[in-house]
Amino acid sequence: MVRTLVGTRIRERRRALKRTQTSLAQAVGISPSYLNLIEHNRRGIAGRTLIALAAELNVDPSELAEGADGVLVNHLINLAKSHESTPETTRTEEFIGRYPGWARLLASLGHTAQAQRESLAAMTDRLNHDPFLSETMHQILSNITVIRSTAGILDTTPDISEDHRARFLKNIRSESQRLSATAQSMVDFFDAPQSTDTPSPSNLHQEDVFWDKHGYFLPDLENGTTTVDTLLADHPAPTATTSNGLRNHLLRYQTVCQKLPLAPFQAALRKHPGAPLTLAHMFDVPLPDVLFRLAHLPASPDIPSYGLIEVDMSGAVNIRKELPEFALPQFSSACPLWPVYRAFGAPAQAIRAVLEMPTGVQVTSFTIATAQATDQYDMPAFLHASMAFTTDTRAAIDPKPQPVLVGLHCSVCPRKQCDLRRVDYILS
Amino acid sequence: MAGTVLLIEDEPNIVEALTFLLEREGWRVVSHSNGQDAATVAAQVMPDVIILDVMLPNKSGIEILTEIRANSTTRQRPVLMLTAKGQARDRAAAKDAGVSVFMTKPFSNQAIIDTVKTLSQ
Repeated sequence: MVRTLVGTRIRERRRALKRTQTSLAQAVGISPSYLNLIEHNRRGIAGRTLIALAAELNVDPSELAEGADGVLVNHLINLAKSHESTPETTRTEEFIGRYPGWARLLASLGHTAQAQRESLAAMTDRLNHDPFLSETMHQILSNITVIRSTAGILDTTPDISEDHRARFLKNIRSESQRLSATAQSMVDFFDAPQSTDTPSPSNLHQEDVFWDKHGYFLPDLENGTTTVDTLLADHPAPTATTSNGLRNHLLRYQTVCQKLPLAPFQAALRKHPGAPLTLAHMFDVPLPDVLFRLAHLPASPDIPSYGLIEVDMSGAVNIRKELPEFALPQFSSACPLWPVYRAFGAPAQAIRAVLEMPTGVQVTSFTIATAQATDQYDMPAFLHASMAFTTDTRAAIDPKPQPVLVGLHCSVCPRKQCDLRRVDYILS
Repeated sequence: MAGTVLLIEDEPNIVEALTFLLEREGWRVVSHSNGQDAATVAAQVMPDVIILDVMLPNKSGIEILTEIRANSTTRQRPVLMLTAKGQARDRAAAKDAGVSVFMTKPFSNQAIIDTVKTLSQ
């Protein structure tokens, strides 16, 4: 028996009553785009929304809910489309009706396969873009450049002076030694047991992909013409963890944008480009909201571009936005000298500091750790730290404080005398 | 003499190799290793070609290139950028900043010589 889908029934009933999607959506408190997804069976529906829709459509909720699961149908059809074989997609509903357990199992296997493909892609991409590996490859390629170029000179210059020959041979030897040592360090790095504090680099990577695509600015979400659910529907996550992380980030964005509307905030930022605490007072919001908002603005030449890192008290990175000049760890651990970790020692204290990387790049940073109380006995407060940073000199601190000499991570930090070094410098 | 090349690079062994190669071809080579004042040095030297590394101490090659293009005396100078990264992001940033040619390390000696010759014409 072929049954009509829930979304289809809602659409037919709405049309019969000559109601628009917009009016129906408004009546039940959801966005028209979300109703559209429901009507095309791309979103499941239950609970309050189903009851509210049924009431608006003057039908019993059971009349709408009865039938095959539209999300499952679409999932199986999409699964079929992504495969070389050609299952009978026109009979998908019948298949689900006859073999619901097998249908769910098939959908689950398809979801798992998709998640594994995404994870593999993320890990492959990480090998290409991980800042630690990137630094290492930069060193190796520099060594190879010297060896190749110098060997080429020796090979094509038979009348080279003894002085030059000796110097070039010495250069090749020293670069070869550095190359060997770096290669050995790299092997050791990969041979070492993987840290247990890196549970979800691929999840953060997936979020990075989303935010990079949108430039950390979502005008449609800010002005209410789209919803978090619609954005998530357009960017399906490979795992539930990824989906939750992205959803939380989007919900936070929505909340902060309501407190700090774009135009007034940009106007205030133009006047106070390096004073987030002043902005917090002006808008009467907590400093973390301002730091978050600074990193979620459209690119504009008249305001500084800010990066952001938010970590919890375990050091795990929850939100990150890199700047081209200031990389952030995809893993949880970065340089312990970063104020974002120091802030846990002084919760609620706004910290401003100039950080200097080993490359000489300096950023102005603003940091604060906040505590969230729990409603249970004997549970610690949940601490959370935010650090916004920029290389823009318009945000410089006046008078300029002594820069804090930091790195990205010990393994790629050449400050060999640092008292806080945890692991050896991977490069020679 | 073929002309003057300003080599902005912080790896001394690469500087030595490139200096030898270019001088052998008749170029005068001025080398500079610090990113902080590299654009100022470019305006003083007024080279025929600038070879610029992407990763430098104190200031990135992209920032230096932006400064070179913003200065009316060096705006038209051809700039050959070198990087060991070869990442799309570096290339895109260099293109936006007005790079003439972008080369990835390791490069061949002949490719460097040919490129400098082409850029100087």
